[in-house]
Amino acid sequence: MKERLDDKLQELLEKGASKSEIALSSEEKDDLEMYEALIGMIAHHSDNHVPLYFAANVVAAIQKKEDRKQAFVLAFLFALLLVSAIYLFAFLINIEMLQQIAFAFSQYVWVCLFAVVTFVFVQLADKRLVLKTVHP
Amino acid sequence: MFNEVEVVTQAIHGNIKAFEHIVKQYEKLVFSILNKLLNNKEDVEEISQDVFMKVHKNLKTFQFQSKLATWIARIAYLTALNHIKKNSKHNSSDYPDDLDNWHFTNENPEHILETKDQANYIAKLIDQMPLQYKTVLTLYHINEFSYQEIEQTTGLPEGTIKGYLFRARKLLKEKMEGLIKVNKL
Repeated sequence: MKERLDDKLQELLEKGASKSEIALSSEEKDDLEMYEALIGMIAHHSDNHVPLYFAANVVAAIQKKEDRKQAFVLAFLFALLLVSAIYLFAFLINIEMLQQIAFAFSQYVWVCLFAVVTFVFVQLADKRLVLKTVHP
Repeated sequence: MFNEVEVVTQAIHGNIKAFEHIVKQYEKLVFSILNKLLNNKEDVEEISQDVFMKVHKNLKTFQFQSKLATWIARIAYLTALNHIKKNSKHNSSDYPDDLDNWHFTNENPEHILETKDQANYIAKLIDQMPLQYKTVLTLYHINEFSYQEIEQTTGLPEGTIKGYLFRARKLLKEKMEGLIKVNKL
């Protein structure tokens, strides 16, 4: 019974009805007043204090992330260019030397692959550690 | 005047000032949601920043099918949920087993002392409530979202949202009745 009355009063409040417009008993009026006071208190107690330079900090963080992405792309392109240049240089200068390098690589292919995988693993572990230190 | 379509379009095309405008427009919304949903207030600023980083990354997927405020509120809501799930493995107060029969725990003398400032007392009571109740109360009464906007933000059906809202207000009203009785004594 009381539950239904509460629902009815909340429905009335949501429709924007005021206690003077509708016929209610004194108990119902008290309850309605209490709901009105409660809603006022919830609405006015919004703890949404924002630090002064929040928007500027967000923009700085985005720009830093984009700069890092750009630096990575540039470093990758540079490395690619360097490897291509070395390969081309070796090819043009001395084809025998290139063959020797290829031969050496084929002899130690697993060692070379292990070195590359270890290097990538160390880089990833390092990145994880840095992230853990910054955002523990 | 904040022209949503124009500012979003500029931000998508890489205008960082336009994005800063978006942050300034919606920072209060994000802070109010996170402040209410997260128990650890120290995390709010960092997670708010995380929310806007996600907004920036995904802005090009925004289709203008809802208001930008609702879309940003959804990102804030989901980010808060993830953070709570990740950090409160041993704390079940946010997700009680039987939500329909959830009640506030009994008062201790310290709580009764806090009742002198009613608005603060209500805010503390809301902090103690399960996440679902906190969410609907915040979005409906503080952020002034409609039921439809809360549905878009949380993914909950409208009937469920209404049920949570009515029960949350009823529980708070019962506490207020108790408070008035205490003050009369």
